[in-house]
Amino acid sequence: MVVQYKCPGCGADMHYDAKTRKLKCGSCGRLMEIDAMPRSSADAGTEAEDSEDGEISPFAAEEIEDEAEFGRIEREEGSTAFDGEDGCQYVCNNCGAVVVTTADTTATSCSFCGAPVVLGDRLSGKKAPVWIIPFKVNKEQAKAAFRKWCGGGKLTPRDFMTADRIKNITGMYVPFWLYDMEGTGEADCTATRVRTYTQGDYICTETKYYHVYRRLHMAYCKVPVDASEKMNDGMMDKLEPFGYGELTRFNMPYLAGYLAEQYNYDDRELLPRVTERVKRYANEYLASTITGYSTVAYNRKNIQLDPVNARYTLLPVWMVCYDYRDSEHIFAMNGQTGKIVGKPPLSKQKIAMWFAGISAGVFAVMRLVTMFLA
Amino acid sequence: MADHRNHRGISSKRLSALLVLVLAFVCVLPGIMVRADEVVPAAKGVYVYDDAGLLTGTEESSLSQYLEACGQEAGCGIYVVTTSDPGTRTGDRYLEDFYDRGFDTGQIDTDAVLLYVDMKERYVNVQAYGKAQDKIPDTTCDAIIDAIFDDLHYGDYYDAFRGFADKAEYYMNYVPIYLRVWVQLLAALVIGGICVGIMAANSGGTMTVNANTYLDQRYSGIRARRDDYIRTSVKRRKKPQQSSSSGGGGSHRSSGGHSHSSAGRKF
Repeated sequence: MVVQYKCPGCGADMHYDAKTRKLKCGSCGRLMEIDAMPRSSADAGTEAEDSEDGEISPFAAEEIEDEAEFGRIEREEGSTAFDGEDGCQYVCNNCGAVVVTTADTTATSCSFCGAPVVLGDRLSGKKAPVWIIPFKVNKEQAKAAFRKWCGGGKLTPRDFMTADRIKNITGMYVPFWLYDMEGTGEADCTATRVRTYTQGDYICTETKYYHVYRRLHMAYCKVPVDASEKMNDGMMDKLEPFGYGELTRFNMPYLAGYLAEQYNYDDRELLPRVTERVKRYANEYLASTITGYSTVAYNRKNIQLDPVNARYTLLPVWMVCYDYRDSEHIFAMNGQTGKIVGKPPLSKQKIAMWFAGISAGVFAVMRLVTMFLA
Repeated sequence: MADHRNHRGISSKRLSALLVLVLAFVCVLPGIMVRADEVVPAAKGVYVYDDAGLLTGTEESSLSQYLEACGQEAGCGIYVVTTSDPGTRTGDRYLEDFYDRGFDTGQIDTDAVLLYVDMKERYVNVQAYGKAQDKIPDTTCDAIIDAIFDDLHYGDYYDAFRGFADKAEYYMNYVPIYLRVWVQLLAALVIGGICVGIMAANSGGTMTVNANTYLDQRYSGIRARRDDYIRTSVKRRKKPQQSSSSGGGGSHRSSGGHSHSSAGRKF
């Protein structure tokens, strides 16, 4: 069902305001505490909540099912007009227009009247997020930060640096799984300490052999893994770290005014990915406990990691589409910290300039040193 | 009493005068005695002092020209000194005195590489002074002798001396590989490429989380550790010798106080 937040004062649509961290009425500027809103947790029936809100949805669940049926039939008959995979159709409470969604959309805005729309039924049950980090960087700040970042690129073309062709900038809650992992690491190694000293006419190399054993207990907290099919994994990994101090319990009003998607991969499907990553960390940790030796050779190493739990979490990301010379470049910005990732176009001219400059500089220094030595 | 005192006074004066005379004589004596038959640098521009007569007249003049040419290329004087009668001087001493004397009279290049052949002891010695000492240390002196040793041993003195000049010039003009222009240019280009590559790779943002970011320190830690000593093994290796035959490392010093490098051996 469609959830929209209306200003109690003037009846206009409200959206989440990153600056004040409250729901804000776009029309009269009224602010509402989100904590005062009813929670939409997985356990609580969302329908009941919505009916408590009263104003929110004119549709009952059955009606939506009907619509869904209708959608499926339509598609089977060969219509291409409808692209929702699960065949759900949502209607804007404001204007009655059909809200265009993909199968994964959980929050969007009405394409006709622009009102923020949250799709409550896609955020309930198994698909209910546990946590959310609300946006902290608002659209203007995001744009400004992006412009600044473009200007700072050493290899980006000059006309790109002005960053005046931001095609669109979208605030989006990307689904992540935050895994808690726990386990033990065990290592059995032969390590050496090497010492060299002179004795009369001889140089002695003394090698002391040690048997080293370590058993560690390790706990990794809230390792994020991007659960959206659309998002580039490498790009999402680079967006980290998110400040978990601002992790709050999920509540639907946070989504008002932003795009949000639901996960495509559940916590089981992504377990191999997170395990591989945490194992890498665990290896480093294990190695870091064996210090004071010249060489370390592992005889046996065993790292056992088990997931303790995984929490479905929405994390804020600004997606910036940028048109440059007929091709689109996509950048992502951490909606909490403002960190930007994405491949900017590279200017061949600037690359050549830097290459020549650095090479010439290094060569000059080398020659100077040579002359000094000679 | 007075007479006795007087007598004693005179005798002590005489004694001290005698002492001074003896001392002066002792000091000057070795100089007088040995310099009577030594080879001294005749003049600036003379590079061959073939006292032992190992070369024919034409060989000597052509070698002289050759040494001069090589010396100009090398930026130092290249000298060949031979003798069949070194007198009381042994080993490096002869050449050291030769250089000292030439230095005092200004008739030798202060930057010089010298080859000395003593036919009596069949002893060859190479020394380098001044600027040449840095370019040609003891080990290089030894390498030069290595290169000409066979010629010397079998009596091809002219070839040996020419070989000496070649080697001296080569080492004087030798530039280590990392100081050569093309090597440095290549290295600079590679460094430039790597730097730009890193810049390009990092232009899309870098990974800033590491192994410790998500580690929960409260619940992580070492539960068991052991560092047991097993055994020790010691490998002994003889210290590399600085110079195989001239004995001892470091710099040498002539009696005239000139620091130099040196290597010598029997041939």
